[in-house]
Amino acid sequence: MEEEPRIGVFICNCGINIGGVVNVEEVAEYATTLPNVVVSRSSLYTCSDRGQGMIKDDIDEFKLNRVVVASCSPRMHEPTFRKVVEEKGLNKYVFEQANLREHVSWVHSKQPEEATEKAKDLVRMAVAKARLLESLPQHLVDVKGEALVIGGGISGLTAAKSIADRGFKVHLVEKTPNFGGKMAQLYKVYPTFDDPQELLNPLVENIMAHPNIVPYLSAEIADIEGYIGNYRAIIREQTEEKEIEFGTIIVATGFNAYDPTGEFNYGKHQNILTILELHQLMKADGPTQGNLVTPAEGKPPRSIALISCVGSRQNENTVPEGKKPNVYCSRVCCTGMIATSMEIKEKASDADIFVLYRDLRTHGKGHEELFSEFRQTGSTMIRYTDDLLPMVSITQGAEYPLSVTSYDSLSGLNVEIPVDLVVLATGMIPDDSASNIASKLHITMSADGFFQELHPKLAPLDSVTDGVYLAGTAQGPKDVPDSVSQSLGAAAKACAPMALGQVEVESTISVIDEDFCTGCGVCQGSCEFSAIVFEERPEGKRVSKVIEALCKGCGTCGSSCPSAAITMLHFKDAQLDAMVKAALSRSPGG
Amino acid sequence: MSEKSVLVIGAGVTGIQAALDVANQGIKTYLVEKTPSVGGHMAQLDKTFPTLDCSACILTPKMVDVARHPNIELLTYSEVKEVSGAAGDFTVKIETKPRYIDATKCTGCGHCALHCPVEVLNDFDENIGVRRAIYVPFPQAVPLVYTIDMDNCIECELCKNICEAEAVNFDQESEEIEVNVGSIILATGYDLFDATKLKNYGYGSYDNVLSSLEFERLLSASGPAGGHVFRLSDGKIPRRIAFLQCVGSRDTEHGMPYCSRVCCMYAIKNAILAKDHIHGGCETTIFYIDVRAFGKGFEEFYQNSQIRFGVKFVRGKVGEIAEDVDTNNLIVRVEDTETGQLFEDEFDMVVLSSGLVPSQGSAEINKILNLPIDQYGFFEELNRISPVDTKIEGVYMAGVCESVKDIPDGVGQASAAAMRASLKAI
Amino acid sequence: MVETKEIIKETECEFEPKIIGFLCNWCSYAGADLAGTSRVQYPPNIRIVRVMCTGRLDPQLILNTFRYGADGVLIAGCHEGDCHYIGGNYRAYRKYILLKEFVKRMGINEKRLRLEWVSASEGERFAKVVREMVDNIKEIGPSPFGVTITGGVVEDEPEPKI
Repeated sequence: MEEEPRIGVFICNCGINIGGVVNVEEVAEYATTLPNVVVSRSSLYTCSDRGQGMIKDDIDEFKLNRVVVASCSPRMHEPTFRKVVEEKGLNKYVFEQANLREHVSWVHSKQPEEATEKAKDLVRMAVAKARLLESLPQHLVDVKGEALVIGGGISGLTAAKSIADRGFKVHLVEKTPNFGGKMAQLYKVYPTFDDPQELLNPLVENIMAHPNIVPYLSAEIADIEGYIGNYRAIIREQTEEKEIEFGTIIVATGFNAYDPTGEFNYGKHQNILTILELHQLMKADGPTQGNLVTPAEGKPPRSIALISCVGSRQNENTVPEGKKPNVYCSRVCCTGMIATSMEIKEKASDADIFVLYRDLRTHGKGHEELFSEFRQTGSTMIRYTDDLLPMVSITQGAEYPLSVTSYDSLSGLNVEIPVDLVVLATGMIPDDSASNIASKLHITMSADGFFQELHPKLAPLDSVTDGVYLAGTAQGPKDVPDSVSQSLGAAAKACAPMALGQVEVESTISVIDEDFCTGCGVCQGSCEFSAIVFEERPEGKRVSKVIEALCKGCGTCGSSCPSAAITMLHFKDAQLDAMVKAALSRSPGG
Repeated sequence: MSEKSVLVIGAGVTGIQAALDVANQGIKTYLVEKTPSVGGHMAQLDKTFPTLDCSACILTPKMVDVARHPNIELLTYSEVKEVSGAAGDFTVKIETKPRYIDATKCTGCGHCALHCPVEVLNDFDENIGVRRAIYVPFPQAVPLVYTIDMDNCIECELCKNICEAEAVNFDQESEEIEVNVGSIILATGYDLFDATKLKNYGYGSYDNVLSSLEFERLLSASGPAGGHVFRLSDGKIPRRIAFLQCVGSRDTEHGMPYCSRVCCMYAIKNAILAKDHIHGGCETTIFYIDVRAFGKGFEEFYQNSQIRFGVKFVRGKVGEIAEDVDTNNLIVRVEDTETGQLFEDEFDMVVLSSGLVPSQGSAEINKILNLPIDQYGFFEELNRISPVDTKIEGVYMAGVCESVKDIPDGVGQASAAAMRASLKAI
Repeated sequence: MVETKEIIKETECEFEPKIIGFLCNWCSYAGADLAGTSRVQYPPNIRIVRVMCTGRLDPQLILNTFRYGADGVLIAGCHEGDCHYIGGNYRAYRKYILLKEFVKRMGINEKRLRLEWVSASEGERFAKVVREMVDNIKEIGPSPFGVTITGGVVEDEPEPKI
């Protein structure tokens, strides 16, 4: 049975902030004339201990079941007053606040009469809504204390270890036969010239022996479903399939190196390499035992050119036919290229090195200092421009197998350099598995193709779906220390709901009335959070259903439904309608 | 809740994020900030790159979260005085300075400040605007509690008489508490490079040569100019603004050799905002060495600044700035390295994209902690794959106090430090 | 149904428009708050209804608002790309475009319906938008609809006052 609303109205003076303009007594008096208002008072500072105490006393004395406070902005004190009513056993959603300060006294300070009338209108509106407010249950979703980490490169490894150290079980899934990812393929890590294996080995050993980590190699995710705290997935490890349940997910699918086929004659001559390929050559266990020799001739290179921004900072004019330009900067290549040049100089001290760049982005910790060191090596730097890319030609029968021509914007000259070796500083692109993972997990990609974070500053590690976090280069190009930082951070995000064992999801959510729903799916198309799905009903009927844990309560589905089947809790059509009627009401009844 | 706690020192956006990420795991967190409000430098910014979203809008919800969080004890206007012990068991003494205002009574109504007769240069506005001796640093301060700057107060007690909440207390004294924590996170941020060290740029002598933070305050809608950019010499609207890059950065002679990483982007952002805020048009030129637009969305922002907004770029490090004493206009002397031409150009205003250096706060806390620091004063990391661990176990770091970085990287690193710190607090 | 100039002449001196503003919690409501904190003054003609997102706004609600007698309706949300719920404001905009056409055909002067993107830092701008709307609507006069609402109940169906 519906209870009769018994509303208490409390008008605040806020010192003289409101009271100095609005006739607060008059407004409080006026409120008593509104239906269902059983008590109406004014106070000096409603948010103060004294003010809060007054509300609590009145809830008791007048058996209030709805409370309206007319004071400052709800963005300021709504949580404060919600707590007050909760302390008295009322649901926090039966509280409504009217803004008489930021929206009245502070902006109409020279018009006290009009301000008082407006205050009355706003109080009448708040009371109209309060009459129709309902208690809403707190939505708590259990969170299983297990995590899935997708990707076993440095990011996945770091995240997995942190979560496991924190005490939660981790399923670490890697699609290749080894952990280590692209970092393991590097010759060195810069600018400290560390051996990546030395950094990775202890971490991998720790993980293989960790009691809380279940590693899966040569494995992929066959299927996944669920929502935060309650996921289920099937992991296919070669031929075996295993079903697992877990609460949170870390996406650490890494990157792929850009394939420059079709540019700079890559693929047409053995001596035109990507920077990763060069690194393979320089490794002690590589095909030439770490000796730097040209692939075609097997001799030490006399002259080498390195070209930056291959596959990055492209525009419509510079990208090959049929390819979509990668506008973004890959962030790590400049430093990688400079450091690699120094490695080359170390291995082939007589070689002439030419670095062709656009802007030199050695921005990280210690990177600029490395660049200063590089400039002491006597290498030549050539600055080319956005639209005039260097050209690599294969010479026939000349002394040097390759030739690089470029415009140098600093000298204004066109240069032609005979070289033995061309190294292309290729950028990063998202890993192949990324779009598949995106659709399985309902997470989105940014314009650059990497996974999109919920907010670039407020939530750079959260994906748009609760419970799914982003780590490492899967989210965007970055180097090893930044990947590690981000992975630790993503682990912290995942640990929060798992540590608490439950997570509160929005109460003011969307509710679909199945009787009215025709299963048209328009609501699903309008939901950014993939919170609405189809469900089958008897006799082949299909309806839309809200996944409560994913609904954020924005109301976009509600306003799109052609069958008026959707109710937005706490912002119902009837409630908003009542507020508008109250605002435009010509008589005090409201 | 876990038995142990974590201490976060510094409540700019990085410290705030770290505290939230620890507290959200059910761990008690002490967040200590030496100024009267949380927020740090991010609260001074108008808009942030590369999305041009409003800085205060995205920061203030987090500021409010941190004040309300059941697991966070916020200690503003406070400083760490002593640290002893080891990872898992640190004992820390924290001193809260007297505001001379009872925080439990003050409602932040601002009536006192309206009547205070003393005007002082406002540090938050980079000394362009003024505040009263009784003040909040900015309107959205958290906690919204006034503070009396005793150095400038004349003790007329007008505020005390006016305050209806009876919150003013001239007898208030500093308070010291002792807490026991499992781990510590440093988020002590940065200061701006002092450009007076570069005599050739005239900062500090020429009225219309500004630092980047001064320009931010002019741009800010809640700043001393209400978002209208004007010249400090005569109040006129600048129509030609020059932005100089690498001021104090990439500079082995008079500044710091490292790259300050954020200046290219913030200069582009400020050039765009200048065009946006100044009605009737404004020409903006950025003098640079390399445009370091490396992060997510940065390159696109840089391209857009040229295509959509018409920001000009000249590749050349400015050699000298001279002032026209009659107009207070500035003459910039530079070599355009793309054409090889030396030239002079006149501007109404010059904004120096000053670099970021380790803060005074970092140096102060290190007198107590004695952490190894690099040659510039940034805290050293344990190794390449432990970027947020300092060399003392149990002490972690995040944000610019570790090395220069932008807000997304700082916030991400804050979460990383929270992860590491939480392992010592469970 | 066309609004005529006669009404304007009659009511010019005393007419104070009543404008209903639907503001989203995250951006425009905060912007209106900032106008307050900054003490920017604007005319007292607007009544604000807070919603979580402009995406919530059903065209039916807007039409009802006119039916109940609003002289103007302001929809204010986050700037493009800033929506707290990612794309709610875009969807609101799509509905608004169609709604604008619709109200015109219903004989409501299109100046009565306005959509603005106001960020949480644009207090000054919010005040400016309100001032402009009030001025514009004063020029065109009161709404042709004018139901009487007593006790929350609409008394009669709208009959244009022409």
